[in-house]
Amino acid sequence: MRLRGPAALLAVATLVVAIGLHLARANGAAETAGDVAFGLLFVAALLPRGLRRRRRGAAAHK
Amino acid sequence: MLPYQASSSHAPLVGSRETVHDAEAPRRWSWSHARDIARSRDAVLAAVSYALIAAMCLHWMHPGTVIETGDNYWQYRPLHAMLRSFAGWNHFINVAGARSVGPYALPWLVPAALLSAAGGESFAQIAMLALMRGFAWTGAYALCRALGASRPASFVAAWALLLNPYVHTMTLSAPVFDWLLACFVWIARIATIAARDARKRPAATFSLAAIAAAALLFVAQNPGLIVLAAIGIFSFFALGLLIAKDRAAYARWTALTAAAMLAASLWWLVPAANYYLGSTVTANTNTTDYSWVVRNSSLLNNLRFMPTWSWAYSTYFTYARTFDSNAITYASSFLLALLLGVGLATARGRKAAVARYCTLVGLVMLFLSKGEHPPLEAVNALFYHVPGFVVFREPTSKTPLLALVLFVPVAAFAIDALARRAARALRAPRAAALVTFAGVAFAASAVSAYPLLTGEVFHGATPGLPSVYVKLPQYWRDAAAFLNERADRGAVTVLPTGTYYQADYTWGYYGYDGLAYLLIDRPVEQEILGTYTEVPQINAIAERIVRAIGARSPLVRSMLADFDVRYLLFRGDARMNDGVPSPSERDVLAIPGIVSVHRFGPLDVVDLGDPGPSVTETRDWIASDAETAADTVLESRTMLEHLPRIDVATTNASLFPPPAVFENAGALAPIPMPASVLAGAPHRFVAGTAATATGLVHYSPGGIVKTSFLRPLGERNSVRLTPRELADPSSAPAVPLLYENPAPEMGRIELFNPAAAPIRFDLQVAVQSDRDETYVLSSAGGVWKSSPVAAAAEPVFAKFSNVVARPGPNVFSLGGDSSDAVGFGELHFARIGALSDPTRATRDADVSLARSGRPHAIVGSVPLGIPADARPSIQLEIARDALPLSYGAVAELSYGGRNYRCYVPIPAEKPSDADSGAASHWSSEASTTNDALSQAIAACLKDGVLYRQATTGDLARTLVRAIDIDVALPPKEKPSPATSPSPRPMSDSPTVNPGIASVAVSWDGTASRSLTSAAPTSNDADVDESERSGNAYAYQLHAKAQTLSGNLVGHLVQLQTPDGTFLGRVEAEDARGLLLRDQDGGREWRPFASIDRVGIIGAGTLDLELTWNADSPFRRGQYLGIALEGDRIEAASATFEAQTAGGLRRFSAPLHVTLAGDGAYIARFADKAFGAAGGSIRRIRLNLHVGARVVDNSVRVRIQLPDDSPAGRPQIAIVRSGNAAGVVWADPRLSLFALGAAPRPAAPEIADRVAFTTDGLTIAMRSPAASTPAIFATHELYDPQWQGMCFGSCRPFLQHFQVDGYRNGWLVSGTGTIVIFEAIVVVQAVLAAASLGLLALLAAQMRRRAPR
Repeated sequence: MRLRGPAALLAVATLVVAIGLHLARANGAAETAGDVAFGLLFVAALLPRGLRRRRRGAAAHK
Repeated sequence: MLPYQASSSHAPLVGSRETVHDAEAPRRWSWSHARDIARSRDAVLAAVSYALIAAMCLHWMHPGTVIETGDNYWQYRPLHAMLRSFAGWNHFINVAGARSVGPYALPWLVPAALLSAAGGESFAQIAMLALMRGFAWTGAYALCRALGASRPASFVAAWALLLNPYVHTMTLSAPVFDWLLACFVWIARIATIAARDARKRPAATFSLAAIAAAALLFVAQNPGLIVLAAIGIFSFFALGLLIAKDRAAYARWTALTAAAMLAASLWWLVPAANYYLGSTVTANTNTTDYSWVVRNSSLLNNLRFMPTWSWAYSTYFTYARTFDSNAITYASSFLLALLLGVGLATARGRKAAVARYCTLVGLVMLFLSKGEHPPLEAVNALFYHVPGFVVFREPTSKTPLLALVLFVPVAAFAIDALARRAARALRAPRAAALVTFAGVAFAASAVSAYPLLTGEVFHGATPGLPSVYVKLPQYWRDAAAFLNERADRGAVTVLPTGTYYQADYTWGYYGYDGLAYLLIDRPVEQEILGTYTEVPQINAIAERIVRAIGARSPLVRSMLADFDVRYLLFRGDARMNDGVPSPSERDVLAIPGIVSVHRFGPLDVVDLGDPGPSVTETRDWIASDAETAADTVLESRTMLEHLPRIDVATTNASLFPPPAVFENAGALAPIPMPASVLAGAPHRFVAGTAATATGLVHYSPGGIVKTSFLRPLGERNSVRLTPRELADPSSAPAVPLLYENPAPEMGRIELFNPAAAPIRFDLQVAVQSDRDETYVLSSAGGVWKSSPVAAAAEPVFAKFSNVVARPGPNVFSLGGDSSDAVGFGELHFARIGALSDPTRATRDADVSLARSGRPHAIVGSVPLGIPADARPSIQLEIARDALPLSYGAVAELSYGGRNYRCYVPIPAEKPSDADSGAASHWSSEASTTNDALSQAIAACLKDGVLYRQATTGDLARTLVRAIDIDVALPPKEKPSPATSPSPRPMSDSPTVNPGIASVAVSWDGTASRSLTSAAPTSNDADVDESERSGNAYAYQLHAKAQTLSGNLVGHLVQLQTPDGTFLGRVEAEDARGLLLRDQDGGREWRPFASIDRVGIIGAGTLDLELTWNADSPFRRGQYLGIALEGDRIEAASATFEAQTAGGLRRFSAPLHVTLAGDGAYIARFADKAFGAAGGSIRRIRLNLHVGARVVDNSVRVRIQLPDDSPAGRPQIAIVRSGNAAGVVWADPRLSLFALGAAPRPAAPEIADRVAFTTDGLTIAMRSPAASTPAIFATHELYDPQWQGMCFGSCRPFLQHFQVDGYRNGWLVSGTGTIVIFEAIVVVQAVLAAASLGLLALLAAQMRRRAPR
C-alpha cells in the first residue's frame, strides 16, 4: 500500500482547489484549503513510500 | 568554479536505479581543462542564463537614477563607507560613537565600489543585482546537478528560484536577501559534493570557511539572518548525511567544517554579537503587537512564497490585485509548491529521501514564516518563547528563503520524473518530454515573475509613495562635496529630525533617512529612531541638541563642540511629517555665534567654527550626580542623569473639566501639583522625591508631555491611504506607511524622558467607557495591558504597571476594546524610577564625573588654612594700545582651577592738568577714582565675585590696556591628621582669620610699597585702598576664595550593597538636616538615614552625625561613601562613634580613596570599618579630617590704564599678613542646605596633541608640562570596553571613568604617550588575522591532500 504518493498528489489537488477557490473570491475557503494542502504535504513528506514495499523487503530478508 | 566542479562531480546521484557513482578524481586546474569546461553543455546553459539575467537586470536600469525603497538604499560612496565601517566601533554614524555591528557590508561594498567606478551608480546597482542573481542561479543549478537532476531540469529549477515570488517581492527590499540566497545555494552545493566524495572534503572545508569568513558577514546586519544562516548551514550539512556513503566520516567532517566556519567567521561574528548584545534593542519585539507583518502570511500564501505583508498594498505592488485575480498569474505563483507535491510523489530511493528531507525542513520554515497567523498560531507562539528567537518577529522575510533553496532540487526531481513518466506513457523520446516539461515550467516561472521581466516591480509614483527611481539632486552632491573637501575637522549635525528611520524628501525619495551618512565623509550626528537597536545615550544627546537649537539656546555652540560638531546641515527639502517638533531653518540661523552659512539649494550648511580639540585634559572635575540646568540652557557636558525625571509641561487652559470622581478619590482628587505646573511652566517629576505625581495634563504646543486625550477617543490620526483603500474598509492597511496610531480607536500620549537611560513608571490614565474594558497601552518599547476597568458613568483610572519610556520622545498609543471608550487628560505617574540599566555601556561605571555639577546640598565648609611664610611676586606687563578707552578694573579670583571675574568700570575724569606727566596724571586720576574703584571692587567681591562672571562682553577686546596682577598664594603645608576634638555645634561662631594678601602696584620702579593692615573682623571679603604714594597704588585683598574650599557635599553620599545595588542620595529636608534615601530593591525611594548635625571642629575637621532608621540599620556589606568636593584634597580619615546595642563604641577607619584628582574625592567606609558592631549600628558620628594642597590660588587684579599712562615696567610687591588658620563657616550667601546651582564655572580644557586617531583607537601625547593629575577625556561615548594606557613617566593602566554622563575619561598623572582603544577593535583585528591564518592553513591542507 503506497501512502506518500497519494498524499502528495492529494496535496497537489487540494492546492489546485485552493487556487480555484481564491479565484472564485472565496478567500476564507481558499485559505482553509491551503492549510489542508500544507498539512498533506507535510504528512506526505513524513510518510515512507509505502508499506507494501517495506513488507516485501522484510519478506525477502527472511 | 561552477564548471570545474560541475563537470567533475555530476555523476548522477540517482541514475536509472538511484546508484551513487563514485565521483571522478579531482583534477588540477589547467587551461586545457578550462577550455573543456567552456565547451561543456553546462557552460552553454550557464551562458544562456547569464545573458538572460543580464538582459533582465539591465532592463531595470534607468540611467541617472538609482533604485531606492524603504530599506533598500544605495551607497553613494561605497569606498568611503567601506573604510569607515571597518571597526567594531563607529563614530561616523554617531559622532559620540557607539558599538558597531562591524564591517558586515565589506563583501558587498568592494564590488559595488569597483562597479561604481567602472560604470556609474545606476549601472553598479543593477550590476550588483545581476551578479548576486547570477551566483544564485549558478549555485542552484550546480546543487540540482550534484543531487542528480538532469541539465534541463536543473536549468529550469534554478530559474524557478530566480523567478520565484519570494525573490520577486524581495527585489524591492534590501540586497541582503539576494546575497544570502546566493550563499545558501553554494553552501548546499559544496556540502553535497563533500558528502558524495570524501576526497573533495578538504577543498570543501576551505571553500566553506572562505564563504563564512568573506561572504556570510553581510548577513550580520540583521540578527535574524545570522540565526537563519546557522540554521541553513546545519540543514545543508544534514542533507549531506542522506547521500553520503560514509556517514560517520561525513558527520565528523561536518563537525570539523562547522568549527572551521565558525572560527573563520569570528572576526565579524564577535563584533556583531558585541553590538547586538551590548545594545538596547528598541525594535518592537512583541510578536502580538507586531502581528501585522503576518497578516498576509497564510499557509496558502507561504506555499506560493508570497507571505509578505506589503503584497497586500497597492502602494508597494501596484499590480498585486491584478496579479492575484488573474487565473494564470495566480496559479503560476504556485509552481514550486505544485512541483513539490509531484516531486514528493514521484521520487524514489535516495532522491526520495532528499525530497522528503527538503520538503520537511522547507515546510517547517514556511510554518515558521506563518508566524501567529492561523492556524495553529499557538505553536508559533511557543516558538517565540525560545530565547532569542524573537529575532524572527518578521519571519516572512527570512525563513522562506531557506525553504526556497530546499524546494528547488525537489522541483528539479519532479520535472525529471514527469518527463520520464510522460515519455514512458507516450512512448516518446525522453529528451523531448524533458524539454517539454522544462519549457512549461520555465514558462510558468516567467509568467509568475512577469513584473520582474517587465520591470513593473519597480513602480513609479503611487498614491502613497514616490517612484523608486530616484535621482539625487545635484545640490546634495554639492553640499556633500563642500563638506568633504573642507580641510577643517569637525562633524556634521543634520536637521530636521523625525522619529522614524525613513524620511520623505520633496524631490521624490521616501526611505532610509541616512542620506547624509551616505554622502558625507565626516562623522554625522543625526538621530535616527525606529531602527532595530538604539543607544539611549545618543538619542538623549541628539534630542537635547535638537531642543537647544529649537530654543535658540546660547549654549548650542558649546554643546555641539562637546561632540566635535562643526557644521549644521539643515535640510529644507525634508518633510518631517510625524508631528514631532524640530528646529526650523530660522531657529538654525538664529544660533548665536555662527561663522558662516553656505547655501546649496534648499540645504543650509552652517559653519559654527572650530569645535576644538578632540582630546582634552582638565583638572577641574568633581564627582557629582549633577542635577541638570533648565532645558533651554542645558550644557551637554552636564548631562549626567542618574535620576530619571519626567518632564511635564501643561497648560492651564483646561479644555475639559477634570474628572470629578477617581478611584481613591481621597488621595488623588486634590491635585498635588505645584501651581507652576498648572500655570503652564515646565515641571519635572523627579524620581524618588515623591511617591506619586498627579496632574491634569493637557496638550501644550511647547510642552513636552502631550496627550490627545482632550477629546473622546476615536480621533483618527492621519494615515496615508489611497482612495480605494479608504473606500474599501476590508482593505484598510493593518499598518500605515508612517507609524501613526495603529487603530482609529487609539489615543496618543507623547511623553518625553529627559534621562539618558530608560525609565519605568506606573501610569494611570483616566478613562471612561460604557462597558467593561481592558485598555492597552503600546509603544515601540512594549505593550502594557491594564487591569479590567469596569463600566462607569464617570471617568476612572486604567492602571498600567512598569511602563517603560525610552530616552527622548516616546509615543504611546492607548485604546480599549470598544470604540466608545473615552480618555481624558488625567495622567498619574507613580513609582518612577530607573529601569535596571539595560545599557551595558553604563552599567560598569563605578564613578561618574561631571563638570559644572550642582550639588544637592552643601553640608559644610572645611577651611584649609594658608601659611604666611611665602612672599611670592610676579611680573606685570602693560599691554599697550592706541585706542583711548575708559578704564576700569577687573578683579579675577582664580582658585583651585576655577576663575571668578568681576569687572568694575572706573568713571573717567578729565586730567586736571593736561600738561603734566603721565605719572602725575595717573596720580591725580587715581586720587579721584580711588574710592570708586575700591568701593566697586569691594562691592563686587561682596556681592558675589564667586557667583558673577563679567557680563560686559569680551574684556580682551574692550579693555585694551591692562595690567594683570596675579597674587599667587603659597602652597599650604600638608596638614597632619587632626586628633578628634570634641565636636562643636553648628551655631558656634567660628574663628575667622582668612588669609590676607596686600598688593602694592607702582609704575616708577621705585615707589613700590608694601602694605599691611589689620586682620579683618569678619569673613566678608574686603578690599581696602590703603595708601597711595606717588604713582604707586596699592590694594589689600582678602582672598575670600579660601573660605570656600573643602566643601563637603552631600550629593554623592552613597549606600551600596554587595550586589551593586546602589542608589543613595541626599535631599534637603527643611533647614535642619539632610535626609538620606536609598532605593529599596530598585523600586521605592525611602529614607534610610538622616544627617542630624553638622559641626565644624577645626581646620580640616568636620563632624557629622548620622542616624539610621530603626527598621534599616546599617548592615554589614554596605558601605557609606562620601564625596568631598574640595580643591586638591590630599588625605582624609575618619573616626566614628557608633551607637550599638552594646553601647557607644569608638573606632577609626581610613578612607578608601577612589579618585584623588584635583577636585574630586570619593571616600568609602566599608562595613569592615565598623568592626563587629556592623550589624546593629544606628547612629554614626564621623569626624572627617580633610587636608588639601593649595597650588595656585591667586588673586588677580586687572587695572585698566589710560592711554597716556606712564611707561615702564611696573613692579609689584605682595605682603602676606595673617594666616587662615581659623575655622570659617560656609559662606553665608550660600544656603547651608540649599538645593540648586553652586557657583562652579568650569576651568578650560587643555588640548592634547593627538598623534593618531581612527575608529576605536587614539594615540595622544601628553604635554611634559602637564604633570599634575588630570582627567583625559575624549568625545566618544562611554563604553566600559574602552581601555587607556600610558607609556612614559606615568602609570601604564589608566583608571577609566564615565565623564559628564556620557563620555570616556581617564585619570592621568605624569607624562607620556597615551593610547586609548576599544577592546573590541583590537579583538576584531586579532580575530581577522586568525581567520586569514586559518584559511591559509586550510588551503595548504587542501593542496597537501589533493591526489596527484
